[in-house]
Amino acid sequence: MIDKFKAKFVEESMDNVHDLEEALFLLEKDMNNKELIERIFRAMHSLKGGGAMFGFNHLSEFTHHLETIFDWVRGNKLAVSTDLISLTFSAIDHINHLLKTGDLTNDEEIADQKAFIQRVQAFLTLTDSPAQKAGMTSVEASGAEAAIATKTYLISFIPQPELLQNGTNPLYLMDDIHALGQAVSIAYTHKVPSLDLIDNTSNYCIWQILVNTAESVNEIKDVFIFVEDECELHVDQIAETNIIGKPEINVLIEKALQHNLLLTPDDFKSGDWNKVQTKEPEEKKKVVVKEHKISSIRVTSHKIDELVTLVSELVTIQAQLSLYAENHDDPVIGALTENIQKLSRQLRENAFDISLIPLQSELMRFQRLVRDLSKEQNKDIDFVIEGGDLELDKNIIENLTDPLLHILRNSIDHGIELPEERIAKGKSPKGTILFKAFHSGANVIVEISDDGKGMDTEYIRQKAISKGIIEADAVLNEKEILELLFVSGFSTRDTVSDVSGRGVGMDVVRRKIANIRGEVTIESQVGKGTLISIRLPLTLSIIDGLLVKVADNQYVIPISSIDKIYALDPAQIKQSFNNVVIIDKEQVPFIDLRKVFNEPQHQTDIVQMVMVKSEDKKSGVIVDNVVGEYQTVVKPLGRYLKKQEIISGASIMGDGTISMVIDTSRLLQSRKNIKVTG
Amino acid sequence: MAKTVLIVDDSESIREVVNFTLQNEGYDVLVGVDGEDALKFLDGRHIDIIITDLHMPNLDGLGLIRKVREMENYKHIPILFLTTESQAAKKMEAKEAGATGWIIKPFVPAKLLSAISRVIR
Repeated sequence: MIDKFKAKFVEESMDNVHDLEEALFLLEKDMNNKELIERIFRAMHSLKGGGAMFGFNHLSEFTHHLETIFDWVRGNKLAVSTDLISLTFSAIDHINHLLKTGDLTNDEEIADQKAFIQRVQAFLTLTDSPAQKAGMTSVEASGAEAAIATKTYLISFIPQPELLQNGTNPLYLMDDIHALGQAVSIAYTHKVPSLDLIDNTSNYCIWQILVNTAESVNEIKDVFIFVEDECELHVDQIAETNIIGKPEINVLIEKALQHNLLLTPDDFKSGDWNKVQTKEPEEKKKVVVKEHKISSIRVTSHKIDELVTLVSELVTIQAQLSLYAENHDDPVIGALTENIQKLSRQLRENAFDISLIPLQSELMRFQRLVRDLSKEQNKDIDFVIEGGDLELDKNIIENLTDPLLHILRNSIDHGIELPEERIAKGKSPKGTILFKAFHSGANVIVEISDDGKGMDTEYIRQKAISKGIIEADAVLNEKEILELLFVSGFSTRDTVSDVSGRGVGMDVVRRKIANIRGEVTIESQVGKGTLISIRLPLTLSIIDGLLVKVADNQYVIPISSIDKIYALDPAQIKQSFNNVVIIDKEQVPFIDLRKVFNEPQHQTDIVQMVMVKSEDKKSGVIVDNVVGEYQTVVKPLGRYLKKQEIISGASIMGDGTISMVIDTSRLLQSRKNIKVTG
Repeated sequence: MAKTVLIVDDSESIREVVNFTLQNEGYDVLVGVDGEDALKFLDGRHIDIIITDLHMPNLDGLGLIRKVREMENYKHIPILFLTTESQAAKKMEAKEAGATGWIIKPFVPAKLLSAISRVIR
């Protein structure tokens, strides 16, 4: 049965580790923060307790030592130091490893852990505290004594009056003793006052019990373990055999009760007792109705994906229904449709809201990266986070993490200078990396900026020339030069460092971000620093678009990339040279979708040009006409259409027809490949 | 009649194990995620026993025990606490706060049940 909970434990422990890590980061900045220390201790404690319960013994053992450390810190026996924090950080990695592998099996790893524990213990021995026992309390060393012979004991249980107030029921203790073997209990009630004086929360009784059992004195004392501080307790062996029920014993008991004098072991000294044994059956509990109340639940992300998909289907069907209702003048259907529309909108919003997760969940990894790398490279970096509570689609966050890690690595590796270098430049020795996330219209912007050395455009230019990416005499402005960083095969460092430049360049970053319909731009100033900005949609599965018509087909252009819409005379396009038209006295490059999609030339007397922008490019897109704004659910294209670069997905319209969603950034990039009309 | 147990632990897995074990034995189970959360159950309904962890956010086990001991309706209810600490100090502190007894983690279901049956029947 325990196995069923193991997976849950691991999942939960991951959260614990996460919390631990977060608290540790904060602690590093504020080493005396009691609350944080308490939080860390608690996380360790849960890991240890759960680890032992679910069979993660190495985990439990390991965290036990860490817990001891933080217990000392809590008790002011040990001070928080950078060393301690570093040690704990590496311990977290080890815990993560233990959670992932289940438990250590190979000897090497076990030896590793031993070494680690020694390091931890070294911390404890450094301080001069007396308590040195770091040994794990062993689990259930059951004293398997081969005692078959039963003995008779006299138990004297003299509780204090307050006994009852902590919820103890002394009669249960008697029951427990009876469960150990044949027993007879004697209750002395002479101290019970008259009824009007009784305080029903006080105990007035004293008990003595004779028990014949195979258990040891300690087992008997165990019964009273909860109350040992609230009573006087004596357990004495009075006979090697069972003497209960013997007439002499009964006489002794009666005498004691008469005089209210407690029995003593001495009373039993004389007597030649025989061996008799009986056993008491154990009672069983009944199974009754169950009740279960939990305020929040954890579901697998798979289930949420499924919910979002189903809701998307529903939205599509609902659109079809709306269309039907519009065309059929039936007031009943009309009213129903309206209600369904309202409901499905709420349901959709709800479902998307569920699938949003705060960026925070990933930030820990970033913080960790900055911390570890800056330590490794002897750089002093302040990692500032703004807008960490911002929520994004789970799928976006999943795909965003790697690119962001890469960008951060670049900033640390290439951006921020060593402290000496910074001082020489008149900067503060401590570099800053600012991670900022915020909403901008229907988008979320994530910015990573550093105050490092910035990009040397001349250097990049030379590099690009030497790599054959551009011609030696190419004239490029600053923006265009920075764009070169996104060209595949470009890496600015001469030597490939351990950190960035692991074969993955900014081109991969851009591609990965484009996959989640995001855009990356870069700005940099030599000596001042670099800003990388990522623009992301709020969600992947729904899009605010402009529905346009090209020949007989409808297409959706994401609203977020649209700037303006112009009406043009088709003649203007025909007369244009090099796909550029003049609008408001400005030259505007354009892309004719009819050409892109190989449709016959225009017959209409007016066409429309939608100005779209993507990253730093801007271009007109010629369509037959604009139908209107349209919010739609985007479905991925099937396998067969995967190679369609400029189409990012498809959407089912209310009437059941399909419209393609245009990937504007790819469309703009493809512009250079479009044939130039003469 | 089924006995009602209130479990208070910030660890979901522990809550589930305890919950599972107790439900199987026919107890009615209420679940609180921390001391603060547990207090909402102490609204006059009948509860036979509280089993609480000690280290929890918001209101910890000791705090919960002290609070319960001040409540007219619940001040004599048995309270067991879960602990991994075998140190006497922690137990003493909890006992002084008014706990009835304790259960040492890790525990096997039988141990949990026997600890409970030590204080309620």
